[in-house]
Amino acid sequence: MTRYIIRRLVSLIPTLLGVTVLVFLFIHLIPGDPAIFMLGEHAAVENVERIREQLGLNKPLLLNLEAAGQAFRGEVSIAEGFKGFFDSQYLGFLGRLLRGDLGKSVHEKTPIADLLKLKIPATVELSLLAMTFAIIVGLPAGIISATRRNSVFDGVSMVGSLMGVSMPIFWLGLMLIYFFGVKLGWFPTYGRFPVDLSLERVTGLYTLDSIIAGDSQALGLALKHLVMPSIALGSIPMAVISRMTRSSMLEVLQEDYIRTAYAKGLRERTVILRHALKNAFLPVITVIGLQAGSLLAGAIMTETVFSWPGVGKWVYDAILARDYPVVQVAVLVITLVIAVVNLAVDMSYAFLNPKIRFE
Amino acid sequence: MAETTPPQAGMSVDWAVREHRSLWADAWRRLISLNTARLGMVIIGVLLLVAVLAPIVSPYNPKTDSNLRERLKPPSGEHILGTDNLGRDVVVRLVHGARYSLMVGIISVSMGLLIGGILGLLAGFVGGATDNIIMRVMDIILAFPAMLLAIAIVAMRGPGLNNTMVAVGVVFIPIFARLARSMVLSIREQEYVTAATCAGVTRSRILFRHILPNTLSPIIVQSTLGLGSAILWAAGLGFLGLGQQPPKPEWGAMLSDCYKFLAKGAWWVIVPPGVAIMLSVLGFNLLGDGLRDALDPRLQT
Repeated sequence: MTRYIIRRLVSLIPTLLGVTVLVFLFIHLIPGDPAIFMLGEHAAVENVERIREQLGLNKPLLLNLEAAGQAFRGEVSIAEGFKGFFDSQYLGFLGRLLRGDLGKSVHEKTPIADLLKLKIPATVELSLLAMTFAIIVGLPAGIISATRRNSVFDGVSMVGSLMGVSMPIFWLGLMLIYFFGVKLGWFPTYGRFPVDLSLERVTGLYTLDSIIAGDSQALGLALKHLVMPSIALGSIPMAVISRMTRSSMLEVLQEDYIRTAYAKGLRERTVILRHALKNAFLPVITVIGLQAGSLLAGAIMTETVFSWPGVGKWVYDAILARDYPVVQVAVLVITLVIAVVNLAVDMSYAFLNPKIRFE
Repeated sequence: MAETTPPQAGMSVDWAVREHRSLWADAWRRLISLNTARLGMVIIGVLLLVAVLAPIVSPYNPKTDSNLRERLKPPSGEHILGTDNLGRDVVVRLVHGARYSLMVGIISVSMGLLIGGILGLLAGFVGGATDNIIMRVMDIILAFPAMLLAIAIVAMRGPGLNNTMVAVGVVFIPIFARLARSMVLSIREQEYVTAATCAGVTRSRILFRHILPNTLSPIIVQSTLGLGSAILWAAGLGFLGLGQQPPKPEWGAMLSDCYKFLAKGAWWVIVPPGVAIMLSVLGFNLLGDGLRDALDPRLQT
């Protein structure tokens, strides 16, 4: 098991390196000078020079062949040439990342690491709640649909889940804002928390922070802000989970041991929950894990619609503002999280299904 | 389900022989027997009809289109779905928007299928280092969430419909590359191909009657489902202001144009484009699911 985990972690490295290359090349695939592109055509020369220096744009792209050539021709020492060979933009970028130096935002001039610390909890809180919503609704819906196959409930929930995956989530968000925000006035339509109130920051998750502070009013406010974005973001995972649960349960319910369990005279509840669900759970777990990617991508749309100050809105704003250092880091963080979650899902198989033994 | 005629006196009937039908005819019968697939086909049919007929029935005319005295009027006899913030008829814009959605879907899926297909076939047939390099690059592209990748590409190339199609197309490349590669690899192993060869079936017959139908079905299914996703992503880009630019009536752009008027209670500018997107995507999803069941009867769920 440990060996398997190590092997999987190692196999992750080439993909992640590839992602860093792609993310790095991102600003170079735009025609023209990246520094001028970021700052605009009328930027002051010294500003452009500052950005060029900051991003190391004056160095060669991937490997410094010139320095190697100098050493080869004997103009500099071999050791110096060898060192110079690796003095390139990409390796510099990679080196800074590995040292934990994420660079600075072009426009805000704030260290990106600090911004990241502010944005990540917002997205984590939203994603967790969206996933909770998706599982709480999707799982029972799938189970009931499977046990009452072809019933009215089954029909309604399957049509509902098909519509769930076919609906643009930004539109669902707008609809929720209209009905529950504008018409009924039940929930606030944007943001995480009232602007004029503040909360002592411990974890950055406002629900947790308000519990820690023992402030029930703040907890209520934080939850109220979370309701609509979580439903919008959770709609697709909910639909996928309920469909997967249903088909997986249907398969298991045909097994002999289910018939045996019924024949023994066990109650239906016990058969469904103890015997069938346990075995139907593996594909459902996979699907839940795979939704991590869809959640983070969906966060871009959801956070934009609800002005939610998380990673999704941050990366979108950065793209519009051409703040490429921010875009690079945010995209890297998102892909890294997805890769790690997928790995965790694979690992969880071993614990859930003793039949699987990793080589 | 084979149609048989009752045996008549004096006539011997060989029950073991079924009326001859090709594999495709079989699949078609299974497909149209599915209610969901039929619904999907109806939705797509209407969408196609609307997209083709729109310019013939009411040519798009930006000049007469907007009428500032008729701004944000609720649905009435004159404007069935009301008018938007520039007094433009919502129905007319919706109908013309169908053209953009279908165009993005068809072109981007074709692009992904063509480039991804070639890369996948190459990887599968050549193998070795070529296979490794191609598929690692595909893995790296797949590591990005689709929507994020599409947004990044459009951000790089600039907003607009053409770049939307390129961006969505690139998202499809690794998906089709994997599919094509797995097809090639599985064909090598198939026993029915060996069996057919042993039975003296000609090479072209093996290719067209045995291999192609089996490889084509996952591609058909993936393309159909891809059309739905493409429409969804294109609308998302349009909504973020990165896709088709206003005043062109793309559904996502219509939503981003008008969502600020929701606070005034103008639901009719927001509901119709969303419903149109949802129905189109639903149509392709239903048909795609139906095709999967029809083309691979072993997967019956």
